[in-house]
Parts: sequence; structure tokens; C-alpha cells
Amino acid sequence: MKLSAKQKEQARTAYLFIGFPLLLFSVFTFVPILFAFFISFYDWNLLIPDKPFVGLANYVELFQDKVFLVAIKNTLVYTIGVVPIQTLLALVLAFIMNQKLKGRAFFRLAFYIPAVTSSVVTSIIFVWIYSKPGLLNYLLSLIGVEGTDYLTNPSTALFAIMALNIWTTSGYFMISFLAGLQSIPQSLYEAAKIDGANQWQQFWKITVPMVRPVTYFVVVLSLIGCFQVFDQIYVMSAGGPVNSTTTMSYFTYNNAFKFFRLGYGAASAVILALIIFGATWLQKKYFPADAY
Amino acid sequence: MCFLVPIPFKISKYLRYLSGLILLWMAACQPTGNDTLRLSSWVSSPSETNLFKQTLADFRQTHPELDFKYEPIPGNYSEKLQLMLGTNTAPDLFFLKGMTAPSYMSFGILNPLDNWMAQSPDFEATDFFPFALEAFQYDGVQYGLPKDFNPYVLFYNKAHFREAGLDSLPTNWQELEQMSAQLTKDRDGDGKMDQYGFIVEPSIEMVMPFVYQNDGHFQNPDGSLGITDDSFIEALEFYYGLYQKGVATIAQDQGVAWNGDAFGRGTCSMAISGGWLMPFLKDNYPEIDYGIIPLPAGKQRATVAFTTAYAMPKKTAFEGEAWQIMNYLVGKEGMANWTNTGVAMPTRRSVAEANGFYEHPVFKTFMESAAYARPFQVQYSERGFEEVVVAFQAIFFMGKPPREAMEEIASQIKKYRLVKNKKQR
Amino acid sequence: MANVELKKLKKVYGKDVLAIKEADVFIEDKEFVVLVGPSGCGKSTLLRMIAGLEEISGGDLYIDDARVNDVSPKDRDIAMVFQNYALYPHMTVFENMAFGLKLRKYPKAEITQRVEEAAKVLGLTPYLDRRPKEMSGGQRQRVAIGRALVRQPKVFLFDEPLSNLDAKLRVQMRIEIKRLHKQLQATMIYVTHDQIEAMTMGDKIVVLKDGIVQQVDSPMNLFNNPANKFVAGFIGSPSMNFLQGEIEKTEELEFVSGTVRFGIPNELNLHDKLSPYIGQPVTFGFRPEYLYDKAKEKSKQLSVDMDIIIDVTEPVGSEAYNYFHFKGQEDLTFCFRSDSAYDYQSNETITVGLDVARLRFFDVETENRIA
Repeated sequence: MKLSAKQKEQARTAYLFIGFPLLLFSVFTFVPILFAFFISFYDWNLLIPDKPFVGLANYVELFQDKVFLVAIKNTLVYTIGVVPIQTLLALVLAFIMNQKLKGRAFFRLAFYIPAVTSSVVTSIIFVWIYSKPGLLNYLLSLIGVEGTDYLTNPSTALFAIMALNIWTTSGYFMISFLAGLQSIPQSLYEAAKIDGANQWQQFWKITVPMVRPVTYFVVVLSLIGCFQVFDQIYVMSAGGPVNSTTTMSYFTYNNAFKFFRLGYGAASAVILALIIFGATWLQKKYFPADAY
Repeated sequence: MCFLVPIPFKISKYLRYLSGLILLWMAACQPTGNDTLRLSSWVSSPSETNLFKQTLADFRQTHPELDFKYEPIPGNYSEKLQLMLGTNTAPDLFFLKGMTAPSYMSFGILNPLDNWMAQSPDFEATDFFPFALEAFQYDGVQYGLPKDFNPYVLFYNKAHFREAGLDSLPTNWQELEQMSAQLTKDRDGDGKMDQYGFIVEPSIEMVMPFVYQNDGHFQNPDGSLGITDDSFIEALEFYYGLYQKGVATIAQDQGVAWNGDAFGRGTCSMAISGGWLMPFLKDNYPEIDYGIIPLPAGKQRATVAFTTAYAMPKKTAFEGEAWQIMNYLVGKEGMANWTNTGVAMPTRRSVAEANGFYEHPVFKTFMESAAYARPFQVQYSERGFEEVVVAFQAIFFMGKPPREAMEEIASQIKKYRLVKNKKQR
Repeated sequence: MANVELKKLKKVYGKDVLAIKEADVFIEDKEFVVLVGPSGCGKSTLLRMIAGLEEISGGDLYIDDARVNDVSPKDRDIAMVFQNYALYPHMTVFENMAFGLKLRKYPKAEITQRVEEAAKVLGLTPYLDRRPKEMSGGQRQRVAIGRALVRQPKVFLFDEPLSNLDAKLRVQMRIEIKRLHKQLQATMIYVTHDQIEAMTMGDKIVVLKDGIVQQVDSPMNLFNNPANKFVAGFIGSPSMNFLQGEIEKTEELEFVSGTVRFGIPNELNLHDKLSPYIGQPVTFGFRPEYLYDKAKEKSKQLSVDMDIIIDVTEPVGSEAYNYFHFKGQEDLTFCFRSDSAYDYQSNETITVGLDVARLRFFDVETENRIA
């Protein structure tokens, strides 16, 4: 491809600009990813000099590992539960916030604060709220319902953490939807009003289709975030009780850093990455982001 | 990606530019050279850390020629240590926990100490309590020196006992259960118990004293797994039974973080814990009037002791200096200095005797327990422990029968047996 | 009967911002009425009040003799065409047009029939499956009109629908809308800021300024008999020239302003109207069309000679707009239209006369027309 001197000059400058960040990115992101993929085929213990090649043995073992299979199940339940609810909640909140209500600014703040608070801090606070003598059970007792310690009850622990995450991240996505909503021309709603649509119909027939690009963005981020959920698990339940909150990323952390088996952990991380790729590919294919 | 984008200039010139950048950057990123010995410990509580720093300060005074840096590691100590050992950036001297020592020793990354011990005439290996030294031996080689220990003992609330009209203390399992029942009360008449006689914890360390007392083992002397043996199951069923029968509670039901907290609040009249509970009570619940006795006995006396050692990595530039510091800190003077703070007990008999530990009203109970204390240590990897924790959670939180739970995981944990120098999962 | 009546209609924003002040307008069934005025005059607000998109602060609104102040837009039987089309981007042309009918639960067959008919009328039949973004501005506007058409409403409302189109397309669409009006025989209310559009399209025009209705009249009447100085200056392009001066009486009445002096012939019968103003300041207005070069124009009855000096000439094809000042008064510039063939040059002095039938006088303070 022949380029003029000016184009060459421009390209050179461009390369120089991206050269350094690209280098950093490669060293701190690409290379570790490739390396993780690489060591997943080895029995890699950081403390033992002997690191034999084991081929697919790690992967085979993973699929026979009961805890890993539970982790996959937990991660899927978590994601399928959180993503739709979170997205819908964020959109509804944004829609409400976009109306001319009194005290709008205060509510916007109230919804957004959990999103910018450290996840470790909110997790610790919620450990107390979810405890047997905690706030949630107190509120339930006011209506005569007795609760348990939600984080040590295997049937409620995962849902407790899901609820926490829905609450914290909705605020963040609400902001994205708010921005999207404000780019919908008011005249569309007016035309719909004249055509005869009520608030409910306006929401579903105008708002929802018009924010589709934002919805796509939110769902992708939400999916990726859910598949990788770690902080809350680590702080609140340590994967328990009885592995009911062990997700794939927590499993990876445990096996790689607590049990010294970096190769095994890397293999589980690779499988998680493949699942995430698959999910986003599926989404792109069947629910693309076309803006109208 | 060169074929996707036109490269409009000579590649070599660009590469020169780039490699220059890389070298410059790498040079800037080199860690500063290691010119002093680094000593690391974990951080358990600010008061403990301060006391330790004090001990180190005394050492510096008496041995000014030995320079070292103290670098405490907050947070995940074992993960961080593992990473440092694996990347040759480990401290030259560090704390090693008794329970996880077998893993480290089996990997062959610790420095054997036998030669150094032989070279130091004042070492006196026999002065140490055997269980403490043995905890850090592997294949007949000594890899760590125990600096202190803490056994499980029974804490009891004197006021509660008086109130219940109990003038004796439990010495065996039946008495433990009976007295717990007597001490379990619904004080405010709302149908729910506010005071429990005892408190249990679904952790392996808490159950093991009862197992040992019942003549059981996690891992039998012949190496086989003992968790499905009757002696083990019986002990587990007894321990869990206390919770089932409602004479013992667990921390989660009370919304507190651990036993010690519940004990301090008076939610339970008795609790099993170690020496670390004392400074905690002093700081948080100073009014509580409590006493300490050795654990009630089963078929025999037994308790679990937690011991920490100093260890060196195999690859260190400061072997000699590290030995000197280590030797002082576990020597008579250093150990006395440290254990006099009351945080943990001396592992040297002479130190205990010389500093009045056997006469001290509280410490003597700890010291007496040393006679029948065992470190809980097995030749299984961390994953093995996790599986057992999960099984216990199933028992306590899902009501799974103990025998069933143990049998289920028995086959699983076999995979996690440690093999010398090569972990066989 | 789809008439629309505005009785003392008022719109207030907040506590005291008066957007529309007591508008009284009667729109006949089948009429094409244009609301026109400069930006911010309230014409769109008025239209939106009729549509139901703005709350009515005071007064009454009647559509088809029924009071609709509190009736929601969808029940007023009106349809609106927006300036930016407001088409639903995610729906096809067909769906856009069908939307209102679907919401009202019309049977599918009828929806299809209405949409196809409207598409035929507007030339949209090949585009029914397209999305708005695949169409040009003019086509989108047609879809917007089609959406209103299928509803067969009592009143059509247009909010500056042609403002976003280029000049040529605008002219084309103007004709089409007029044609549609003739075909449908429906009441149409049309908002525009372009007085040419207003003049060419309206049966009746409502001129607005600052929320106040200035005049409601036919185009020709607005042109020939403006009610006040604003209407006089707004209607007509280039706009009317204004000169402030005094009425003096010598033998007849005369208008004097600086060096300009001309008599007002008695035959015009303006004596009664103007005599109260003798010795008073008045504003005199004359349209560029009605000043003639005496050397060229022989047929009309013109005023006394006046000398002017040409400043700038703008040829616009067969006509030219000539900017001039009266001799002796360099600071005031005026305009007159002439045949471009006369080819006036800058600084040329010519003698002109006014068409006496076209003299207009306005009160200086109230700006209302005197004569």
C-alpha cells in the first residue's frame, strides 16, 4: 500500500502514541492471559521447581471436581438471576428519575451512592444486615416473619448476595440509562400521546426500543461482571456454606492461591473466559445493539 | 498484525526506539537491591503487633550489629508468602503456622536447620516441648523453630456459674453437657434462649480435641484417614449434639463474628478458646469475671495446641544472620521477652519455669495443657481442610448426619494427601 | 362540524410568565388557518394547547362545539405533524402509520386498508417496509403526514412541518399540503414563521406577537389593511418602509419628515382620520412595491415629486430591490422594487412618487393603524 510522506509521518506519530500504552497493556494484560492459558496445561505449583506438563489433565479433573461443577451452577444461577433484574431495575429507576419529580436530585444520589461505595464496605455492612439479629430480620419481625442468618443458610446465601449486587450495581447502570433516556426526543413521546399511548405503553413501545444500544451495553457489562463476581463472595461467605456461594472466580482464587495449584486454577479461569466469550457472542448474534 | 496495517517506515528503526523504551522502563522497575535481612510476620491485631515490635526493639538494643528490616504482612499472609516464595522475593525470616507447615515442608522450600542447631552450643533442643518441635519436622529434618504455643482451654463465666448454683466445674463430657443444660436460660421469658451453656464452632480445630480425647484421629499413625472411624464420628456427634440439643449455640445464630465475642457478651457461659481471647476480653469486655480450666476429658486428656515457628527460605542471602535472630528469638532470653507479654506461651520448659508461668493463676492452666497437647497437623493439603470445612457446614447448617457427611468426603480427601516434594493433590 | 374556537385562551408559565394572552380565534370547519409570527411569539404554544400537549391556564378551547380543556390529546380527535417528524425509528413506515390505529384497537383489515390508502395518496407505497432512517427528509415528512391522515381526525395540526426541508422541497410540499387540504376538505391549523408560507397557504391567517393575537384575516386583507405597524411590517417582502414625521395642514394635509414633504389628496377621504393628528407625530408607511420612478411610471396617480439617491441595488432576476435615502436625509435607508432592466447605479439621483392609494399611517404610541 503506497503512502504519501504526510501519511507516513502521521502513522509514525500514531504508532509512537500508542506504542507505550500498548506495551503496558501487553505486559500487564495480554501476556498474563496468554501465560495463564499456557500454564493451564501444566501441574504448576509456584513453590515446587518441578512443573510437569500434564496436557488436558487439569481440564479433565475440573469436570470431575464436584466443587467446580457446583461453582459453574452457582455462577449461572447468579448471572441468570442478576442480569435481567438488574437491567430492568436500572431502566425503571432511570425512567422514574427522568420524570419531573420533586427531590429528583436527592433520589438520583441515593440510588447512585451504593454504586460508588467500595464493594468491600457494602459487603461488610450487609453481613450485619443479613445476620440473625440483623436489620433485615428486624424488619421482617415487624410483619411477623422470623428469619435466619441468611449467609449461613445454604438455601439463602447465594440469593442474599445476588440481592446485594442488584442493589449496588443498578445505580451505576441507572446513570447509563438516564443518559440514554435523555437522548430520546420529547416529540416522540408527544406523538405517542396523540396516537393514544398511556404511560405503560409509552415505556414499552418507545423507551425500551429507543434505549436498545444502552441496554446492550448494560447487559454485556452486567454479564461480564456477574460471571466474575468475587469481592462479595470473598468478604461475606467465603464460598460457603457448603459451597453454595462458590462461584467460578472464587474457585479459581482458592485453587490457585490457597491450595497452591496455579495450573489447575488457570484451567478453571480459562473455562470461565470461554463461557464469558460464549455468552457475549450469543448476545451479539441474537440481540445486537443496532441503534435506530 | 503487520499485514493488517501498513508500516510506513523501516521496521528496524522502530524496533530500536521500542527496545530502548522497554529497557529504560525495565530498569526503572527493578526492585531496589536487597541489602538487609527482611523479617516478616502476619498482622493479627494492633496490640499484638506493637508487642512484637517491642520485642524486636529490645533485640536491636542488645545486638546492635545485626541489622534487619521488619516488614509485617497485613491481610492474606499465606497467599502473599506463597507468592513471594515462588518468585524468590521471600523475606529471609518469617512466621510459619503449625497447621499449614506440612505443605511448605513437603515442597522443599524451607531451609533445614539441623546444622545450625548443632553448631549452636546453647541451643538445647531438649528444652523444647516435644510436640512443638515435632510440629516442624519433616522426614527427620527440622525446618522451623517454635516460638510459642497456645492450647485450647475452657473459659467459663464465674457469675453465670454462681447464679446457676454450680460450685464445681466440668471435668468430663457428661458434666460438660449437664452443666451446659443448667446454664442455658431464657432470661426475659420471650420463649427464646438468651444464655447458652456452651458455644460450638463448625471448624475442624474445635472438634479435634474431642476426637483426640476419644482416641480418634484425623489421620491415623499408619497414614490412613481416620475420619470415618467410630472414635471420630462419636466425638463429632457429641460435639454437634450439644448444638442440636440446644445447650450450645453457634456464633452465626447470635450475629457475632466468633466465640470470643459471644462469650464476652455473656451469650454463652463457657467457650473453648486460646490465649488470644484474654487481650480481646480485656479490650472489649473488661467487666467480665471469667476463669480458665483445662478442657474436660474424654477417655483421656487431650487438647489442640497452635504453635508458630520461625523459618527461613531455602534461598536466602542472609542465612547466618537469620539464624542469629531466630536463635535469639526462640532462645531463653528472647522467648521470655516475648511470652512475658502474655500473648502466647513459651515452648521452652526452662523459660516457663524461670518466669513463673507454672505459678501464674491463668498461665499455669495453659502450661499444664502442654503435657497432653497435640498440634493439629496432617499430611493433607489445604484443599483437604476446605473439604472438611464444607462437610462441617453441611452438618451444622443443613443438619446432615455426621457419619454420612464424613463418609462422603472421605474418598474425596484421599486425593489431597501430601506426598514428599511433589504434591499429589 | 370540525370547527375550533379559542375563547380568551391564556397560557402562563410559573407564576407570571405570560406566554399567550387571551387569544380569541374562531376557525371554521374545513378552513386552512395559519398561525404565523416571529420566534417566541407563542404560535407553537397555541398549537400545542389545541393539541393538548400544553396545559391551558385560562379561557376555553372548543373543538366541534365541545369544551376540551381537560380532555387528553388522544380523545380530542386531532392529529399532529411535528417539525422534526417524530417518527418512531424502530418501526417501519407501515407500523409508524398504523401505530395510532393499533392502540385504538382497530381491526387489522381496516388498519391495512387505511394505511395503504394514505400511502397511495402520499406516494409512499414502495416504502412501506422501510425504516425512517433509510428515507430522505421529504419522505419522512410525508410519513408523518400519513400517520395523521390514517387517523381521519377532525382537525389536522401542523407544527412548522417544512422548516427542516430545503427551499425547493419546501415549495413542493407546500403545494402538496394545499392539494391535500382540498382533497380531504378537513380543518387544518398550520404553524409557521415564514410569512410567505402563511400567505400562500392560508385561507385565514392569525398573526401573533409576544403571545398576543395581532390580527386574524385573509392574506390579502393582511397585506392591504394591516391592523397595526407590526402586521404591516411582518407581512410582505421586502417589508414595508416606515418614516416618522408629522401631519401639517396648509391647504390640504401634508406629511412632513425632514426634507420629505408630500400632500395627502382630499379624494382619499382621510381627512377625518388624520385631522386629530395635525401637529402630532405619526408613522408613515409605504410598501416597496408602491414607490415609482416618475420617469418610468406614467399610469398611476402619484404623489408630488421626491428626490432620492440610490445606495445599493439588489437584482433578484427580473426584479431589483433598490435601497435608497431621501435627498437631504442620509441616515435613513428605504427600499423600493423596480424592474431590474432599469439598472440603477449607486449615487444615482432619481425622482420618485408614491402611489397615493397606498399611503398608510400609524399611531406612534399604540402603533395601531390610523389610515
